[in-house]
Amino acid sequence: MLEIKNLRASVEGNEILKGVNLRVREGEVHAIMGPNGSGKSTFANVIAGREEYQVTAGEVRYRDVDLLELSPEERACEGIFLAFQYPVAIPGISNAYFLRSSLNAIRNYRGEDEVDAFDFLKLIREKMKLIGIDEKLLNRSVNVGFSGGEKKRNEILQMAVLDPRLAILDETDSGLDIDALRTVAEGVNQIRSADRAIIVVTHYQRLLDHIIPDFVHVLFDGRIVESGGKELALRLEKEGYGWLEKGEETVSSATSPEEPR
Amino acid sequence: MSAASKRLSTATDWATALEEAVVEHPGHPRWLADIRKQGRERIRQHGFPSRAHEEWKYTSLAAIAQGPYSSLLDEGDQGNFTTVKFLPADGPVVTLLNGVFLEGSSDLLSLPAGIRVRPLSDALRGDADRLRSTLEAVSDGEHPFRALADATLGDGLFIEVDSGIGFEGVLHVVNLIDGGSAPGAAHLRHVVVVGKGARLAIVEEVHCHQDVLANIHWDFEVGEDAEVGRVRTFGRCADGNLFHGSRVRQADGSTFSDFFHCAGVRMIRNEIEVELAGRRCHTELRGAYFATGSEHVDNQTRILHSHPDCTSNEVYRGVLSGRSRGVFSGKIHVFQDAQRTDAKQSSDSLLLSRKAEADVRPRLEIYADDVRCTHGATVGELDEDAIFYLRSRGVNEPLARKMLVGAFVKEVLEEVEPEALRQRLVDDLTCGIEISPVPEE
Ligand SMILES: Nc1ncnc2c1ncn2[C@@H]1O[C@H](COP(=O)(O)OP(=O)(O)O)[C@@H](O)[C@H]1O
Ligand SMILES: [Mg+2]
Repeated sequence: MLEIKNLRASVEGNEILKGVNLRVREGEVHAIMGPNGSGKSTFANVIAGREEYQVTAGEVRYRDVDLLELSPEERACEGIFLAFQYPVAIPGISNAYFLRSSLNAIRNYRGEDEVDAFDFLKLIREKMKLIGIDEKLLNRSVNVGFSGGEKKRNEILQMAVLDPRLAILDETDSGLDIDALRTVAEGVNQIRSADRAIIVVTHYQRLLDHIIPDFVHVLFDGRIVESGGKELALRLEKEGYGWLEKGEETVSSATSPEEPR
Repeated sequence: MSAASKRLSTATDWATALEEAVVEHPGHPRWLADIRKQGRERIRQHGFPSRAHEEWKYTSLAAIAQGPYSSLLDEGDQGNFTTVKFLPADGPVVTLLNGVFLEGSSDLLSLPAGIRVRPLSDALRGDADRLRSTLEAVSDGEHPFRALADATLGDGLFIEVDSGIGFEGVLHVVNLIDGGSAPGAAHLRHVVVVGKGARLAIVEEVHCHQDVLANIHWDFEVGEDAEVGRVRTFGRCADGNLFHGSRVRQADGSTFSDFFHCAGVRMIRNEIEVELAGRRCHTELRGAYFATGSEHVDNQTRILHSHPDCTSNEVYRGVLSGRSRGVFSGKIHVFQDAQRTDAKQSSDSLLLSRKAEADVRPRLEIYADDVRCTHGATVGELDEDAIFYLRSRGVNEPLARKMLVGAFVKEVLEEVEPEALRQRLVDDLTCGIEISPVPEE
């Protein structure tokens, strides 16, 4: 579904991604871990099409198209969804209007009829209940005055409504208490299916107790320096990232991160 | 700076042209001819101010002063307005073409008893004396557009609401200004007198065709505990120069609210002056506008708090694209006796292009000590993070921009009723966005 080769990206002339290789197939759940500042959010934003990050080298194929050629909105319509680490507040646009505009944009792209206000409300109420979001948030401006937890749940709500093929969750676990973490994880597990792929970006392993990944990758200084199964997350939890720093040279040349196992 | 360099010459030509064009009607009172004569004299004497004049710093009147507007427009052709998308209206309507009442396009039958709407020239023939003090009042003798309106006084409406009449509907006033056969000016004066405890809501729409100067003035006398609301919108006026001025006097316990709305007007000067001439009054002045190309929107508000315990709230928001310019100059004057005044003012501008410009000037003069006055102004651009957020959810970039602009202006119009009207006004402000999505460098 997603095949990334030697991806390099810079922002304001600083190279942040320094040759990322990754392959994600339908049905898989990948976790990308790594210390703060290693480039995880940059990676997620590059996949979503954020223009302030310049891709300087490499290739990204998504379902047989060159992803880098697509605009952010085309990527979304093709099924890519990014749950942001820091969702933006938009005063004056209600959550309901935001979501309905998004859903209808995607439906239009796919040649489907727009949903009317009534059907939309029905759909969204059902999803809100599943994710445990207060219905009052529907008529509030997007993320304006939302608590940290509400923002994260709101991202998961958008994901549930927009029904993506490839979902990338950027630190969706940070700032959540254990209950919130559980509902977010449930939201993700519910959309887990054979034709959908999920990339979970986190720097703690605790979310991975609830969303069991098929693969774990370590992003360090703009490169994937280690890949493995879910046990890698446990090792990182125990040993931290310090060992990577020392062994960086040998690790990155000795493994072939794009082909886990 | 000498007084002369603050003026543009050509004034004598204007005065002479108007003297020839305006015919005195035998049925009109003598004092009307005097007002006209004094208007001509003021134009002759003061002419048009140049930009050196404090009040006209941001708006040049050179093109108007030297333009073909000293002649008056002919009767006009209503056929030139067939493509105009008028606002939704389902109550009484009064339509004026170049200031003249069009009976066939008006419907005043649904007005309740106690509300009278008629052409000003008719009123001047009948019980003219009750109009005299309002029409004779001169607050700013040097004001060029006031002088022009006085020099030509006669066209417009006289609207009266008797005490205790609560009209729940909306009176729709359509001002059509047609320069189809030759360019020129139309000068209108609307006088509104609302009695004690009465209620009146007005929606005014102005549409221009071809190269015109529309000079429209409103005078409101708002009685004790009365409630007056007005929404005014300026539709298709791509070649129009507009002056739109209002003077409002509020008595004890009254409320006056005004919503200014424009999109697609070449040049407009919007002036409103409200005197809170009684206790416990409230004034609400709101404005939302969109300008593009080389359009120019100049807003001047003055609120005179002369009595205690009054509140006022001003909220203006402009969206400026292309090389357009938006001006907001808001004066709040709190007189010594006006204790416990609460006056709020805010003006926000959204620049969609680097070449657009917003000028904001709050002017607070406070002579009472127990008052609360706040003002704030912002000039900003669309939030790129918000645009990306929307795009990442599938919404294309032009629509994302349009949604964000809509969100910015919508708040100002929140209290406009009914909802269909409000939605239409928001749409008018944002419909130009999708066409020119990419900001000009
Ligand atoms: N928009 C940006 N402008 C400048 N520097 C950035 C920007 N985004 C990220 N960076 C820098 O890139 C590096 C990686 O950041 P990020 O991708 O957010 O890391 P992570 O998500 O792993 O914590 C950091 O050094 C950060 O300062
Ligand atoms: Mg991050």
